[in-house]
Amino acid sequence: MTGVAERQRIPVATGLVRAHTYAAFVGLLVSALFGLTVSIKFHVPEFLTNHAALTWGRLRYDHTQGILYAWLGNAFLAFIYYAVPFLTRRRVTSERLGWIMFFTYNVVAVLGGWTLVLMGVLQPLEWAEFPLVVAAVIETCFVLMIVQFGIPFLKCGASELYVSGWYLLGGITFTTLAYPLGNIVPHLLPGAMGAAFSGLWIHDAVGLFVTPLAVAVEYFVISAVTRKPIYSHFYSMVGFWLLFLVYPLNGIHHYLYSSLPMMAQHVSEAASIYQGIDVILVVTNLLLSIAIATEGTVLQDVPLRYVWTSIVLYLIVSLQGSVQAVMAFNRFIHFTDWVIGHSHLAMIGFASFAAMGGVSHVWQRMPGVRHSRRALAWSYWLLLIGLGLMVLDLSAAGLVQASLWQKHLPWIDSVRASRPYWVFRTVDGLILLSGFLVFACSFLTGKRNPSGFLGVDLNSDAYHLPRHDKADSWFTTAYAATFGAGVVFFVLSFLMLGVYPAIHLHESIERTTPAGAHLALTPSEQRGAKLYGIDGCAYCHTLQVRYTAADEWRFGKPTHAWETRQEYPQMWGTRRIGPDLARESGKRPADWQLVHLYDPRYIVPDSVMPSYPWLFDGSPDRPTQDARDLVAYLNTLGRAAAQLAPAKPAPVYVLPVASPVDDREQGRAVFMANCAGCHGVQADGQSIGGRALRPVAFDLAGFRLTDDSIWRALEQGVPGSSMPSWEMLPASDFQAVADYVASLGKTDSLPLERQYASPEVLKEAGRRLFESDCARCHGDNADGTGPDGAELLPHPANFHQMMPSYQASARILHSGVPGSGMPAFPLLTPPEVQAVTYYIRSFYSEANKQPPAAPVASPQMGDMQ
Amino acid sequence: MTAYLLGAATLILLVLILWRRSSPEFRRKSEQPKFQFLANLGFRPDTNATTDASNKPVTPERKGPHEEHEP
Repeated sequence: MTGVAERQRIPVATGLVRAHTYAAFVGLLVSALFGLTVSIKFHVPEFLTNHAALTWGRLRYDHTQGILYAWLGNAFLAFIYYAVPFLTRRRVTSERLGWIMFFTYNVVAVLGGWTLVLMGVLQPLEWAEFPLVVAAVIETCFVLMIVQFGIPFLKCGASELYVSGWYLLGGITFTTLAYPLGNIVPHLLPGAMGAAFSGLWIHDAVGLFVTPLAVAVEYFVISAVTRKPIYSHFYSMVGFWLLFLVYPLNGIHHYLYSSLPMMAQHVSEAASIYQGIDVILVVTNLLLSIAIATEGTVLQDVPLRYVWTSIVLYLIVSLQGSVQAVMAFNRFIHFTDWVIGHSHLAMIGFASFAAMGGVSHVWQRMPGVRHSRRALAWSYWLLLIGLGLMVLDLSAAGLVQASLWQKHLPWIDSVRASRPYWVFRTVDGLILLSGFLVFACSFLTGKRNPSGFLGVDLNSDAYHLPRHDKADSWFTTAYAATFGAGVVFFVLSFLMLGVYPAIHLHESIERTTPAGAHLALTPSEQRGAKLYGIDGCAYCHTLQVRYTAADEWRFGKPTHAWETRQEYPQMWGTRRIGPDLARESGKRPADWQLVHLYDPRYIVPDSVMPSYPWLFDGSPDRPTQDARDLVAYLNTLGRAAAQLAPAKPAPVYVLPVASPVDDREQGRAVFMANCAGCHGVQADGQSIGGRALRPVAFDLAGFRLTDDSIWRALEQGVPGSSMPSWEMLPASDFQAVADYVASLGKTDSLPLERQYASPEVLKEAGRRLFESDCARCHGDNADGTGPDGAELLPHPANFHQMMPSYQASARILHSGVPGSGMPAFPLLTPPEVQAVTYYIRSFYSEANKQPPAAPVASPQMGDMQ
Repeated sequence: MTAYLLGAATLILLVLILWRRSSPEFRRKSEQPKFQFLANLGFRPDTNATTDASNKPVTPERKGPHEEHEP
């Protein structure tokens, strides 16, 4: 009797549904908190910055991995445990296996993965950040899912399987196949070759894991809530097959305009557009199903409302994705916050809304649990508003960033322009987080369901066994063959977009690598590369200059495939918050990099880059070996290409015509925004960052400079110092800041009674001192061309172009210029200092047709008098 | 190569679509799972319907286990 009863009632494994639902809530809230912290750090970069585990990069890794595995993975598993009996009229393979999977997945994979990432054990591969050991556990779980759920589906038979079952089966199967591509292969294939596989996984994580499971929920919930069949089961299957046939071809569209073979890029572009057509078909079928079943009435059922919203957003995000993959648009919008808006729309708007619709639908039917419809409805509106604002905000930010990147403006301008959008994003994030909290509360409050049986009741009057006839065999054959074609297409996509580019690139790299290219990394540089990945640098700074005009004039020559042959794994990146670093070698001295790592705002006040104080022993001039390794690695980026590039001819410098307009205020504003970080607000080089640099920042207030020396330094930078080129400044800003700097020099005279001697005596004494102590570097003529100074960077001062104040000169002579070739002369007496200063000032005066100014008293000199 | 792959995918599905249009049996079989699914949920669907136009409201005659705890 018992056996008959059991045969006639197929129970849902409610314990596993509950467990995965609770795990999903924890995953959602923790992942959202990671995301909110990351968002706050954009506009409060010093927030939680004193420990490596809380740095932006690692939290960002845990945010995305948590959303994918801890939240969506658990939510979909909860739904699958509920759905399988209704789809197959069979139990899952083993509840015991289910519990083993639950603990393995959540304790080992999710909790273990999060912890290891915070500890710095990770891989810097997008959507594959958990370290390899965790990746192996997750892959094992996917294989176990095939055993747990695939066997009931296979027993059910292809001809009777509802479309949700196909999506669940397809999602689990194809994810199992795709997962190793993005997690393991990039460790085996370097640079561009590995990037091809990473690109596949980036999109397969969404297209083959999240999308099928979300669409499975949508098809299930629509029929379950409306109690009516969907519009067309056949076209739902056409959509299913198109998804699996075409989606794997999309991946390379993350690396358009890169050094990957153009054929592979075009395949991904065409497939992305084709995918949009498929989504139109799927969404039309889904929306028609709802419209016909509900007869256009308002969606009273909140889970169904979640699902309906998910479907609409699926259409929007898919068409958006297709447009983004069109090369003409991609050239403009890639790497901006627009793409981040797109991914949030996909993962929250489409996937999470579907998952929420699914688990809330299931929960309302679970025996003995509480649920609150009111709280659920509140969560819907909070999440819809929060998501809408966030996507609008990030899309607008992306357009602003893309526009600024096309213009000749310093990179930091795009960061400044983004700040209000990032603040607003945090507000949106708070709304979303409150929505998630209310959503979780809706499962814990409200009325309690009665206890009872949950499952398929084969005794039900409504239940009937499917009719089996001769058509079954050919129908099953046709469906199975098409599913098989999907697997074949997956393998083809792997061959065409992974293996083919790898072979092509391998040949190309062997052919094009220049003889003598210095690509091998020293042990220190290798450790630096590892640190670069661990702390998430690649998620803000790309390491690929694309073949686009805007990239080339801003960063330099596009990245060739041969340059990446030592990158294990590749860290090309898909987002630019800071500038690309692929051509960083030689751009800035190591001291600048160290100070910048210790606290970026010391020298770039508007930077949002995190500080890395744990790489130092308390101050920027006391770097640990880790900091030195990281800086050593930064100096390798683009080094081989730079060494092999032909020497650049010296730029021809033409002094621009001075502006007749007095734009001193504008110049001061530009100075404060871009220069004061190093030179200080008083322009005396006494800022914390400026003093930490080697050579220390130049004391602009202590020198009068010729117009052309100011212009040259602004336009070309100062080789050997941290002074970069500011040629990206708009012409008006450039002119204004040059005029402002020219006005800064405080080199006034002192009354004659403060002089130690007559001008003639001072000059003669100064000449003798200069010729004995200074001329070997500064040259007999004080034009910076002395024989001992030829190899010095920065070059010794040319006193025809700069005139020090007596104070500045005394300070420099007393202490030297740390980090430059200028030594200290502490034994010089005050009269000697005055004499040599008087002498070198005379060169500027003569060169600029001005009488030499009398000495100005410094406090030390006054005391000595 | 791109065209071949996308063309092959399209061809497979076009064959199925044309097959469905020409064969009432195919139409019936291809739509059957959605009715079977409703039956599994405890709802009594109109199993004779074979086309998209069959999606007229179907009132379940008996409350199935799936809806036992519906709000």
